[in-house]
Amino acid sequence: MPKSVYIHIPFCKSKCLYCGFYSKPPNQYDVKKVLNAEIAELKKSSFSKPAQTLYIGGGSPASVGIDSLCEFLSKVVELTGKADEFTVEINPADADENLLVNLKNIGVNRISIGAQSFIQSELDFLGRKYSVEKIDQTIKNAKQAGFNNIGLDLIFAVPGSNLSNWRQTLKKAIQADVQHISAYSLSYEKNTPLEKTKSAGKVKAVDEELDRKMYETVIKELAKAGFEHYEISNFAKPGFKCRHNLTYWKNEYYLGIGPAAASYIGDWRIENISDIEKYVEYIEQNENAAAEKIKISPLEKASQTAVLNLRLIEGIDLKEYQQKTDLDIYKFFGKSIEKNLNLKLLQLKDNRLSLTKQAMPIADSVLCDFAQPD
Amino acid sequence: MDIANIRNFCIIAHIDHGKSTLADRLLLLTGTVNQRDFKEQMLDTMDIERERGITVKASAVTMLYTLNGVEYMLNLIDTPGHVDFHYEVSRSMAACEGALLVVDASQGVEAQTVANAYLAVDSDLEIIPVINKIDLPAAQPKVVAEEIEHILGINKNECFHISAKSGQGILELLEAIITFLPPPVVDLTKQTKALIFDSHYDEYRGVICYVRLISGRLNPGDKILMMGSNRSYQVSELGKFTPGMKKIDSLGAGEVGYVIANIRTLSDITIGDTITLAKEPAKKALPGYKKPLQMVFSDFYPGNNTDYTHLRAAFEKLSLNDASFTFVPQNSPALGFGFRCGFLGLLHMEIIQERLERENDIEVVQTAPTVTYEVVETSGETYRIDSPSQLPEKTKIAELREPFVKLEIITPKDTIGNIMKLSEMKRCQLIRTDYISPTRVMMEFRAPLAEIVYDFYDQLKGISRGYATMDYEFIGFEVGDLVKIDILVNKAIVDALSLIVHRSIAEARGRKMLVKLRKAIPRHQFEIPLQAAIGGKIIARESIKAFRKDVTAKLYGGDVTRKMKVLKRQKEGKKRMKSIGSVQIPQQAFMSILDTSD
Ligand SMILES: Nc1nc2c(ncn2[C@@H]2O[C@H](COP(=O)(O)OP(=O)(O)OP(=O)(O)O)[C@@H](O)[C@H]2O)c(=O)[nH]1
Ligand SMILES: [Mg+2]
Repeated sequence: MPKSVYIHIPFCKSKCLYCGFYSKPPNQYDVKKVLNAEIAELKKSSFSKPAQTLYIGGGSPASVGIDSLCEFLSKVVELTGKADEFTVEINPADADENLLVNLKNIGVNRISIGAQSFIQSELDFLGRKYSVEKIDQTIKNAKQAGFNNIGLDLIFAVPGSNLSNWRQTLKKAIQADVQHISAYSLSYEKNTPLEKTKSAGKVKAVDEELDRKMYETVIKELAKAGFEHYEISNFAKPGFKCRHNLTYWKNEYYLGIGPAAASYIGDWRIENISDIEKYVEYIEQNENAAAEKIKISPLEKASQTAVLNLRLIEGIDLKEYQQKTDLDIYKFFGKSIEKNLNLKLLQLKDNRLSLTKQAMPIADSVLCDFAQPD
Repeated sequence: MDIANIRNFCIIAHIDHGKSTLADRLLLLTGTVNQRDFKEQMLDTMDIERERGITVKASAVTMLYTLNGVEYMLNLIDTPGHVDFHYEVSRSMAACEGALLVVDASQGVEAQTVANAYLAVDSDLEIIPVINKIDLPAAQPKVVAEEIEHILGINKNECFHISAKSGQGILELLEAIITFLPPPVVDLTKQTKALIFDSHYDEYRGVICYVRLISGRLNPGDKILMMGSNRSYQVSELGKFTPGMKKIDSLGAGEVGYVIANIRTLSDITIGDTITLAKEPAKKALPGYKKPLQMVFSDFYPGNNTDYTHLRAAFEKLSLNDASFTFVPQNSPALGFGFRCGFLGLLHMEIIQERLERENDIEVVQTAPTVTYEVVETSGETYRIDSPSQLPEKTKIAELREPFVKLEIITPKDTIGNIMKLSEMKRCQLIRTDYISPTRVMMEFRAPLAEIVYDFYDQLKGISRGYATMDYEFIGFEVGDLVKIDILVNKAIVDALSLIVHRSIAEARGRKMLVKLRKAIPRHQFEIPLQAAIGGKIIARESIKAFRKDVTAKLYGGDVTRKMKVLKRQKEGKKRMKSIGSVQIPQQAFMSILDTSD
């Protein structure tokens, strides 16, 4: 039974250029009805109570309004019990003092702030509708409200940016004295406005060499500032790794609630229908909201576990791997392991198989070797 | 059946002119196949034939038809039109007295029309000219009839005008087959002689020999002798293709059918061999056939995820059904163990490669095809090589000879200029030009096979708006000023990328090869230098930059399924590659060195 619960709030006041998530403007929907449907879905889903981790993501959860969000979260907590780690994503555009205080009162104990950049021109380019000052303010409000586990999301390799811009963002993020930082290279997801302008030749991605340098810079700078690099894009102060996200990379079960949310339960990977209206309709008719349900074979599980574990800096714990998958990793990936060890892209230490430093910027070229048996 | 009531004929034509469709019509009209079981181009039974819409293997079928109260047995052989399968056509002809020469009414006489017509004349076949597709709006049956008369010397008034699609004119044609084509010549020697003109392999019954009985009779239980190999077998079943295999009690002189005699491997028989009875053998075997001549050679290596023994088993299985390709073990310093294979042409090669992979679930990496060269060493020793890597040291070579062909091109006259330009570039020498009609010509060249066997045809189509067609025939070896280009990948020579070319174009070609390779080899985790060398001297360099960033930034719960798919595809892409040192070279890279386009 899943111990982790993810709840998707599919609303956002304005969509960012690069965002590939499913979200819609809240004013076009009967938000109450949608949130009620999510509560109904949660009610009939099974997971272990109290949930160990609870993660509210979006969209922008706060875009539905403080009152609606708080009312919703109270109902959620009634169902899940008090989670050890209870995260809510915050878009600075939708955050104010009140919001943070209220969240704290409901029992939220971790805040993940989608800051993205401390350079105004980059925020504007990305279509983020707030100022750099608003980020500072949001962090301050969160601390004042009593949060001591705050995460910041950052994006690098934004077209037009350069290494000193990126250093500037990193410096401010470190100064903000938060516990967790995720740093993503901007990706050009299919069917996003960003990807379309790029294909049309109107924007140009930063060149690979700079992208790599920026990545190496974040690794170096955050290490200096006392952050542990624990996943390809994630960094945490000691004791503050995101436990919810670790569920994914350790390939453990999780429950996803809401339109487009994904679950992994009992060897099934399930994805809910993304269309909000259809989702509500299904739930109201007491039907299952799954749009896709894929049975994961033992071999696929072996592949997925390897790929996901390798995203962690600590890599694959070979003993644990054997126990969990009941499969011999060398039997299926022996050739790939050997080859990548020789190329110094993988390393074997203390019965753990992990990416080397030089493999991290090109991790997919190694991970793909584990996507299916040799 | 009385031998006077038997007709044996084949259908020959340029590719796509409608042979198989005409065969369909005849099968339906004679009631050999009923509407319910019918499907289009029904004699094209192989998957590859149906998918590509072309005939690859000749098929024989027996039909019965009653005319004026007399029952006739009509044995038809549908032949392939593509130049690579000429050999199949000439084999089929030895089992026939007549040929239907089909010409597309909208396309006219084409290169293989001419080649096949001459083949039929050489085989002493009676020819019935058939103009097909007269239903097409662009049909010009009159013009085409003129062409047939002009170029082939066949009276234009003898042409039958048909549409194999609508069925128009088919009945008249069918009756002409009976009235116009001669019955088999009665061979009065009483000993049994049967020509093996084709064969295929059945997993359960072993080798099925397709035979044409020249004299005598065959019965089940007969002990037979293969006159060429001197092996003997016992006939377990005789039959006819209708078009499925149908058992019969006896095969008589003049008839066409199949023989099953517990022959376990195809290499135990030779196409063209003569079957006779062991107890009363014929005095002399039939003339038989020349061995097929492999025109192009290429190495096949197991892909990253296939092993050698598996590949060998696959080749053995395929060779049971196609005796016209060859394979011998080959060991390349760069690519390891594989096979050197010979094919009748590029289409034949493509088909073998596709069947190999598809029917056996394996992946092969194939090197660029090359022709055979003749080496004369300073010691006087002369031998042939079919791979640039077999070339001896420069100092040992007294002479290097390359194969030449007679090349025939039929094309609209306004494209002559373009064709002359192309042929000059390809070292072809014009021998003659004949007008086959006021608007079309036939050009004959002497051409080095190496220049025309790869992308010549595509280029020809390109410069003639698709109208030109070509045919070629091997004539002999000739001395050429040839050199070998070696390619170094990551500082090491990759023998499978070597190429023998004419000195006049060698440097330009070497540079082009590198440009093509740079595009074909994916970027790696490190930089890869590429070099081209002639006789040890580096003549060109390129390099493939390392990729610097290849990582998915976010991978959370909702991304797993999608991301796994993408990674799987990335891994599959690597499978069709060959590891040479730490460089992965994809299949296309080996082929890309032949690409001379810009
Ligand atoms: N309109 C029209 N199309 C025809 C006729 N006969 C054949 N075709 C079409 O021409 C194409 C080639 O026909 P096939 O019968 O496969 O030609 P083929 O000569 O056997 O070809 P190969 O065996 O590959 O040399 C097919 O698409 C047929 O449907 C006809 O009388 N009229
Ligand atoms: Mg055909």
